[in-house]
Amino acid sequence: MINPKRLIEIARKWQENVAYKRRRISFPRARSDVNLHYPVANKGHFVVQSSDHKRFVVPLKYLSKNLFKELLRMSEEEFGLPSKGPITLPCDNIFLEYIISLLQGSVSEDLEEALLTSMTTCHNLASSSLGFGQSHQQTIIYGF
Amino acid sequence: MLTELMNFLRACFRPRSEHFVRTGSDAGGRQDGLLWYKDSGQHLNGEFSMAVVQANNLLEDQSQLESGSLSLHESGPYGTFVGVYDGHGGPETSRYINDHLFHHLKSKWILLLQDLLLEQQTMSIDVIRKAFQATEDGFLSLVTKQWSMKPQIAAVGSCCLVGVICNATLYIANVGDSRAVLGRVVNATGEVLPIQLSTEHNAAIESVRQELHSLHPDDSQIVVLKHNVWRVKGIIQVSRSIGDVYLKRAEFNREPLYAKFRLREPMKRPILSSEPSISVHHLQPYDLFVIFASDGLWEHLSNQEAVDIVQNHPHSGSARRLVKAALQEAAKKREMRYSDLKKIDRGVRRHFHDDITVIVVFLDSNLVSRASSVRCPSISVRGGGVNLPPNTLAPCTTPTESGNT
Repeated sequence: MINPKRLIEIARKWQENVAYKRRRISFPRARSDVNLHYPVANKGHFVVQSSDHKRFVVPLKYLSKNLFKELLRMSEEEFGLPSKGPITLPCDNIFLEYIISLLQGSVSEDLEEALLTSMTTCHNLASSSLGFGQSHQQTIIYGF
Repeated sequence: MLTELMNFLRACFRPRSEHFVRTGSDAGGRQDGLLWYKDSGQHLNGEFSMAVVQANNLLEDQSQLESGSLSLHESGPYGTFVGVYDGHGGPETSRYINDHLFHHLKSKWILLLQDLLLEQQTMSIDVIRKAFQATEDGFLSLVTKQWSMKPQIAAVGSCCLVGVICNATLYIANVGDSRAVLGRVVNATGEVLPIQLSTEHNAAIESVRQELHSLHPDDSQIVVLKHNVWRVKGIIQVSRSIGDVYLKRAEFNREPLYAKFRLREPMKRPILSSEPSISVHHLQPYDLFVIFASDGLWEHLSNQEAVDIVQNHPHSGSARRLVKAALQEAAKKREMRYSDLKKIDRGVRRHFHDDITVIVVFLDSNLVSRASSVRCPSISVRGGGVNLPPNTLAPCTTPTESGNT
């Protein structure tokens, strides 16, 4: 198993990767032309937000992925179950983008597995130490 | 050879699938994915409609409607009993209430009917209070029995909302944050006004926090605001419940209970109470219906929205319509489509909405005014989806508690 420090290193590398990708896949706001107050995700998608309040539109099939389920479990533990608005996941937008890039299937299963096992033990470390590059722009990722 | 094999396979599969189908449609209810519903039925005082949608991995909401004799005697008194039990931490307490509370009510009524010193109304309130107490005591002894094998049962509890209609009188008893709302027609306009009949015990309500502070003057941390939600001791939102013995008895607030449930300082007195708030209403011809529902409904619909939905549509399917309206609202809050929300599996579904139970009881004024001594066929309906035994993760095992479905 990869130790948490090594994992953070890998995460940082991936963040650089993702930061580059993000410039290509980000756009200001989904469907803002339809309804500003209640934007609705495309068919087969739902919305989550990072702890720094960035919205992500993600496909429903993520709900059956262990990595995502673990984030939901951590979210419940950290924030309780939300009564209003989208689900908030206990990690910042960069870490969440990284997770989404993993779930898009472009990364080896081994790394995904390692991350899952480490997440439970070091998620506080991960979410705080990976909390750089904050901005308030909306980031929408369509993760097909 | 092949025929034999086929016969063998058929024999293996038949009993289970038959059992499954029978359980799914128990007492006339229907199952559609995570939604269970009984669109229409007849109770002593009119029609009723029930619906339940499951979100938790194991359904924590339980509910029942009983119509007929309210005592152990066949001679009555006759009436309608409605119960909505919204469990938390697991399904054990709400299931226990579903299996025992009504029986306790019936047996207490017998005892008090023999005591002629008390007048009718006082009797009934006392009967309900005693039935709640007997249920709380019964669950406590169950926890005491199971504690060494299954300590987490000490952290399971349930809200408990009860309505009894008897002699043109409606009794509402409640612990926790489920809610009963009466729809009353305003004669001049035909408009229906919502009248909330239940008193709720959720720390989000200021009077509940005040009550907690007055009961625990030496504890400034008795209620804590955490992520915008008020919680008693930072742990639980309701201030009264059945069960939750870890917040009532010091001997259950210790290892091996999970650390997150344990209090830092020793418990001087019970933190939660099981004392129901009871109110009595004399039903009038302009009282049309009562909506009983767990907080899963009320977090998405206002009292007015709910009575309008019932009033503006046919009686049949009322409960299912309310559940649908709540789910549409839940989907809106999560910024997704209702059709997509319905595809989400139980367990993970809890992040999108809570278990929701709705029972709409219509009041037919001709039947309501009928004497409580008039006999009627007895009806018993339990609301709920496919019930799995606790600690089972397999989605398709045979339900063990057939009475609970």
